[in-house]
Amino acid sequence: MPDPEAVTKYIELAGKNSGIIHIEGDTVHITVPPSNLVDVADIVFNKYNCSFRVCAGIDERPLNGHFSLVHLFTDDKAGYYVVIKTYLSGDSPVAPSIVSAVPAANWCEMEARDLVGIEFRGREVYRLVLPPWWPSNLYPLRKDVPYNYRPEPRIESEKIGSSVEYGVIPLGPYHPTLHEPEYFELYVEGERIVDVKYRGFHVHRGIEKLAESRMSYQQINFLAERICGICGFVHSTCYALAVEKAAKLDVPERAQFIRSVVLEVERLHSHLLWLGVAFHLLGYDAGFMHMWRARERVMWLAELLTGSRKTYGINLVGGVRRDINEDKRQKALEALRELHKDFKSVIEVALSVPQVKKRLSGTGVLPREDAIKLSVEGPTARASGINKDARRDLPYAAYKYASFRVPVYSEGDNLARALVRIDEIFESMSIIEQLLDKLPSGPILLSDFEIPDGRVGVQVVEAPRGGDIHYIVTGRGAPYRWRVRAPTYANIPALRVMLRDQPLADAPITIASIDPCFSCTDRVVVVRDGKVEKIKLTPVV
Amino acid sequence: MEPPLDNILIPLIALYATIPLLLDGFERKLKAALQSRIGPPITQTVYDVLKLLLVKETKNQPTLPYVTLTLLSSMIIGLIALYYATLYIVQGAVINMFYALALLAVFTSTHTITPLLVPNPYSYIGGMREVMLAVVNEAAFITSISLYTITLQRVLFERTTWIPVLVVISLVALAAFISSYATSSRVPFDIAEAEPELASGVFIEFSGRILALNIYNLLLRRLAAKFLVLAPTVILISGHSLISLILALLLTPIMWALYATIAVILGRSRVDIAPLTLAKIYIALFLISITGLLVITHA
Repeated sequence: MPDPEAVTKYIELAGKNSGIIHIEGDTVHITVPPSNLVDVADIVFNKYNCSFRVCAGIDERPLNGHFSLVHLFTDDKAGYYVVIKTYLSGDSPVAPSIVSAVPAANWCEMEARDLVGIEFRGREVYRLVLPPWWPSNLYPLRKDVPYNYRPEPRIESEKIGSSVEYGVIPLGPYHPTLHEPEYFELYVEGERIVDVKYRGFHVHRGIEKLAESRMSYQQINFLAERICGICGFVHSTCYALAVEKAAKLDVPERAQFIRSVVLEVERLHSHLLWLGVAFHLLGYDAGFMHMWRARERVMWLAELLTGSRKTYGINLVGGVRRDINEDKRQKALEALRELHKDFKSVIEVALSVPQVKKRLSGTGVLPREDAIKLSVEGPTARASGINKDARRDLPYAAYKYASFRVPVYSEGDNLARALVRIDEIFESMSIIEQLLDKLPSGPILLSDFEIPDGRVGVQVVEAPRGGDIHYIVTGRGAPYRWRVRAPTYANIPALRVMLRDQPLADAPITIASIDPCFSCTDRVVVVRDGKVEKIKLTPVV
Repeated sequence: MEPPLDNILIPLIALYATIPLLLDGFERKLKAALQSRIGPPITQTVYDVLKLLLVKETKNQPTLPYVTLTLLSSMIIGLIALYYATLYIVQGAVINMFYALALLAVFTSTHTITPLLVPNPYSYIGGMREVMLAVVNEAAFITSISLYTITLQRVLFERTTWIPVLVVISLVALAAFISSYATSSRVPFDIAEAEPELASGVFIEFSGRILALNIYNLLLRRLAAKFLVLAPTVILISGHSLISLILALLLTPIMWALYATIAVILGRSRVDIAPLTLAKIYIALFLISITGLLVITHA
């Protein structure tokens, strides 16, 4: 439960900065003039020690003639979401950059510039998300740009960097270590990395625009889960919870239990997958194979509970579509007991392999100060001594009914990140057992509800990689604005710190240590009668 | 008596040329069993190499003809090294063993430098890693096998069972075993072709026939490295004879399986750790062994 006492400081903060505050459930909304934005963000981030999650630009011209910019923080100790909003000119939106006070806001500001056309003062600006050939005055998330507008693409090669002082090793966009397209440029002196450059967003899919323009509230659940091939249920739950919060829906408790159970199944499958990949990168393929063998039991469990090995298709706004009966509950508990035994024996052997230990210890270190500055998420944060976990700090679904430990390590190295995930696997198994034991009776889906216009919902769900955040402004039949930020977005900037002064040989395991999830699905396809069909979209204009 | 080898020379070379492929298939099957997998059929490596031999190179680097020549010559040198090791097993004469050792050193060095002939940063890095490891390991391999052969010859002729001699032999045998394992480029010493680290490292620019040749050379190197450790060992059991050769051939899959099992239970070492660890182990083993040998000689 949020701490009501903590609200006082936000009321004072709004008062001192000519702001307007209103509190709705666990969310503190503060609207400030642009001139006070940096000061407010500075105090919230550096004085109140809130986590910065993301920012979003919104084209509100059809509603009030303005653009707006929201910065989303969470006060993890007090259990509040803090939304700082500022209105900008509808003709030429210019906002002060908060990067000097909140370095973690670097990328999201540039994304708001690319997609909504908000200019930022007081910082270096560059194109982040859109490809180089995209017209410079076309901002796809503005409401007057049709979702199906496609500028003629121009094929342009991006040159790799050159250095007379150091060797340049390109890593990506396609590389055996990187299972998704991203590009790292490693500057090396011998076998030691001296600097790193990153270029991502090769397959930006425009999912937010698609949802806002063409889909209904319930359809978006199925789009949201396709954001990620691993933690799809996290995205659909996060989306559904944000909408439910905005519409103040009272979702049946049994549905919330089922959501939490499936979220933990997804965490188990994701962490086991990561451990396998990490062992493979360290040349310990026996660990890789046995970890994936153990993971197979989790995939079976996912199929048992959701009807698919990938936990897709059961979330809806208002609840879930698939129940857990007594037979499934018993089978799930039995599978968990076997998994516990199997995983324990395999992981003990794997961690005793000298090369595994040696290559994980002391490599890819992310100091706590940098982790705080960059607002990193999940196991990456917890391995650097930051004690935050949305399941405990900002409880959602049915987590308040489970007792669990949040593993925190202070070393900040690759081993610490691995150990956090290993501990979390044991905790997840325990959470599922507890929730299945306490599964309440009742319906699993709200039958009749309405989603009013103009409401705001913001939700963090603790994905296997960290806090996933969905921000919703409700519209008529569909969200007016839907902003999604996956945890990897917050963790990638930390790689520069982790990789510097490391041996080249440790680069793949260090990159993998944040468990990056770069693009997942890059398009939506329809499979009908076993054949893949292209979606035919009707032009709006 | 020196049993003649001329009649079986061609079948013998054909055998040496074929078994690395089958033994690799056996290794893949064994690893699969240890990792709870089914794995490919034993003949899979034969199919892989045959298929690659029929495929044209995808990239036409100007230096590829030199790479082909280097790989072909190293393959021939490797087979000759095995022939001399066979001569030593069957006919005796320690000099044959030294010829085999010298030829193996040339084989390994030639194979090691091939990635450096390809203009690609990953190839260079992989090649330099291989060179760095070879600098430490090849010297140890030659020294340990030479010492092993000499001390075993002494045991053979003097029929001694004096414990200090056996202790020294065991230490030298251990060094020979480790260096032969490291020469085989298996985990944890596969740092040159560390696929995830370096986009296939030394193999990056190789395709088609050149890739087939490179893989084949690696497997032949694995066979030769084992065979040279087995050669002096089997003499101790059944002297210089055809039976010793048969014994060596029978022990080869067992030793291959042992190496494969070790590779399964370990992870990859790091480029700066592997040569240093090896150097420390060799220095300790050689210091103790040579001191022991000196003590035994003067005793």
